[in-house]
Amino acid sequence: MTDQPELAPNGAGRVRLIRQMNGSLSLVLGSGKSFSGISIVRAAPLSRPNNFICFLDSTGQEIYMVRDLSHLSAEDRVLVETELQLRYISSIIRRIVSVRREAGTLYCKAETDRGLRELVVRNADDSVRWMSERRVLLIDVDGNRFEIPNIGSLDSKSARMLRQNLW
Amino acid sequence: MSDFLGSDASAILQQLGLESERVLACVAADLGVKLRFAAPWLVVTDRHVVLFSPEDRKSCTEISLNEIRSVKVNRLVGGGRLVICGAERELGTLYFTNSVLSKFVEIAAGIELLTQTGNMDLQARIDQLRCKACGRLLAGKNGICPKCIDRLTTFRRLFQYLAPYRVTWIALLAVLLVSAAAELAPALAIRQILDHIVRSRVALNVLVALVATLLAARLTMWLCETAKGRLSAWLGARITADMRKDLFNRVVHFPTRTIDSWSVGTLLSRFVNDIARLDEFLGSGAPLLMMSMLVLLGILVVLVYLSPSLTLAILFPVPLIVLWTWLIWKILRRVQDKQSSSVARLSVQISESLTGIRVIKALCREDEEYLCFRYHNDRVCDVTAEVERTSFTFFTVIYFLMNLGVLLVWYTGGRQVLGNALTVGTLLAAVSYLWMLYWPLQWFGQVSNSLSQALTGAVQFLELADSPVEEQTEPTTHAMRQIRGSVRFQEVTFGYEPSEPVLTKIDFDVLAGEVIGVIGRSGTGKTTLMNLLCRFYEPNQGAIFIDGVDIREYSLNELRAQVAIVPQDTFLFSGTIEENIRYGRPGASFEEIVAAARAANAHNFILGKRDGYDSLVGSRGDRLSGGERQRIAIARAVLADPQILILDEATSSLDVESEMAIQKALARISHNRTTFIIAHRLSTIRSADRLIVLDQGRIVESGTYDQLLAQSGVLWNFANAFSETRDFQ
Repeated sequence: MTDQPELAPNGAGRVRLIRQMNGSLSLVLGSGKSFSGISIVRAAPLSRPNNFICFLDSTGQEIYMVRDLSHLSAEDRVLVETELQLRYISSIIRRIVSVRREAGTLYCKAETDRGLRELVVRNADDSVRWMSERRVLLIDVDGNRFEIPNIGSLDSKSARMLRQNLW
Repeated sequence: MSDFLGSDASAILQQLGLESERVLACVAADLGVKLRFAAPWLVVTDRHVVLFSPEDRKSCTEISLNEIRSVKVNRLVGGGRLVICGAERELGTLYFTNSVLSKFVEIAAGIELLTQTGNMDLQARIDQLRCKACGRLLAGKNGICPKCIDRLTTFRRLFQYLAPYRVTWIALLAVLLVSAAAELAPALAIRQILDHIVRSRVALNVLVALVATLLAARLTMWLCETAKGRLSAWLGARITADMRKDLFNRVVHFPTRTIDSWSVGTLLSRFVNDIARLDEFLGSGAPLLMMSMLVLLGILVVLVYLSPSLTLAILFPVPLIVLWTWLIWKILRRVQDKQSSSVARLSVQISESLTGIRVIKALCREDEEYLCFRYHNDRVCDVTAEVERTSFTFFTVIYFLMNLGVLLVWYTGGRQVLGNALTVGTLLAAVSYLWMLYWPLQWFGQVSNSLSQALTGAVQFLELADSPVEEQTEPTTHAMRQIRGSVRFQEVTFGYEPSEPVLTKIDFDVLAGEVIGVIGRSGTGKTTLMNLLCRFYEPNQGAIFIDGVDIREYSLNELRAQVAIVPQDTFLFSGTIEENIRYGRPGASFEEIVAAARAANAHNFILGKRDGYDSLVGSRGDRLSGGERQRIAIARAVLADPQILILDEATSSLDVESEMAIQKALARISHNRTTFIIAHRLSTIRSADRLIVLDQGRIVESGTYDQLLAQSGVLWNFANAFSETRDFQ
């Protein structure tokens, strides 16, 4: 059993992140205790992507939790954000090129922040997740993630195609 | 291995000046620079690993094989990362999405093997992500492309199910023909009545004959209708019953892994929904479709015979009707889908609230549940209104178009009657045919919908019906080999997902008749270890031997008749206690059942029940307590009289007293058979001959209880924690 992980209050700079030569990350706590080969995860990646960021040691035990990314120093924050971007491979849909529905499955071609991509999504509660009235997460049949942060801010044609086919 | 070879490999190598090397594998990832979708390549030759991105020719990484120490695949959320590590630093990384993850897990293992042994043995099984014919992305790896399904093959397979009922469907066809002819007769008879009797007042007996014809036509139609209904309903029900039968027989013989990959819900829906769609189509859709076609054909022939110019007038609005029908059915189908899914959500909400009513009440959440219900209820209301609105629009427009046709016919026909080119009877007959012609048209949209749904249902049925079953499930011809019960695990590595091994290099020997305790924290692979012994899954590497023979060489019947498992989550079938115990060995006598129950310490509680061994256990055994269920499951396994018995936390739900009793029984049960006992409580395995301690998928300690305690290792920690909890109790 490890000790109760610290939850950073507001004090920035209580932890320090170091990028090692071999590419892995180390964490040094305020107490001077250091951990190498850590991983960084979001506690609630869908609903609170920028809050409650947890640092895990190499065996997966929690070491430390940050309530808000802004509590970290600027350099640490960049490191954390880079690491999170590499860990959570989720694309943001910018435009829907085409949608077709067949037997409860959506065949969709979309322009994302990573480029053009085709995706196949089963129309079910666990693969079309409405995070709010406007924000929706699509998980395709392979488990890849596609997010639409605000369906209202898509162009009207894309929004219409989605609304007609998703519910 | 050749599947791993991409065609562009040689071109890439030529650019790098490595064309003299032998290419072993060449695979494309799908995330490139800045993690944008791209196709960077990983090429493995006999001397190098090359990472190459076609979009950015400068960022090419060439890694010499002898620098490589390890190759790992890290699983990320929504994808993965392949990391090639040298002695001190990372030599290269490659990112990809989940779509190609399994491919890279294999290639990573392959490269590691190559650096160690100089050989690269890839079990090349490349998942098909896109349809081979049209290039379209598939729903699920190796799935079926809904566009390119071979309709002909599908129908041919379905017709195989029709074959045994040839007499019935030929009769059905005949009935349809007669019925179509009978539908045409009345209008012709009325024409005769109008033209000859009303106008020229001929003899009464002609009138009688014509009225009799009308009556005969009506009677025939009524008879045909009845016969058609009965025949098609019977045929549809019979065929789908055959399909369900075949499907079930197939599914129970699937390997465990295949069953895992289908959720119970999906399988259930294949049985219920997909086959119901086929039933609906075969039972009512197909005959209706054929009937309408025949009648339409007949009407056209008769109309052309009566008056070609009127036929043209009648056909004039047909393209409009067809177009409108096609258009509206597309919308209607969508809103109907929406409606059924909103109704499904409402019923889920109701059933969840009612199942969890105690929790709702305990936490005073009645009002929130009500609000939630109201939301779903309103949604059903909205969507239903949308469906009604759409169909209302549909029918009003259809009526308008049809009446347009009627006006046209009255006008053209009327003018011809005035010019004496046409009789009144013919005009009236044409008008009544017109309605018969238009009516089926509006249902064509629905029929084609039901046809495509039936086709999808058929394809999904065939997908399951054609999946491979476990090998060697048929009874073996040679006599069953008697197992003595020695077990050897040799370097066994296994993961449900190859990239996440649950067990790593498990190596141990068990003598026949030994009692082995297996302990470890939950999630360390104890149950998995035993699943492998039962051959519910195959190890990824290594092998398991029973009596020195690889378990893959035993037939499944041979193996499973002699290896019995009492699983963690005891499952009882609805029925009596006796039936549940007898499931272990169907031919057992009642004395043997009682003996097994005694051995499992279940006999006394069974006698305490009002109906004794005849007591019903409820569905899944829910009328019994957890401990009672476990003891019946143990009795069931004991009755099977296996040479190897596995108790997977089978005594975890028992109170201390019953467990003590089972302890005593265990000594009897395990006599002369190899017994594996997985347990949380140390007391359960204290008497075991030897203990195996698992941690994170590896064996960390093994030996007798006292030896391990003296080592003050993992077991010692375990024992300390245990004594604390015991004090607490």
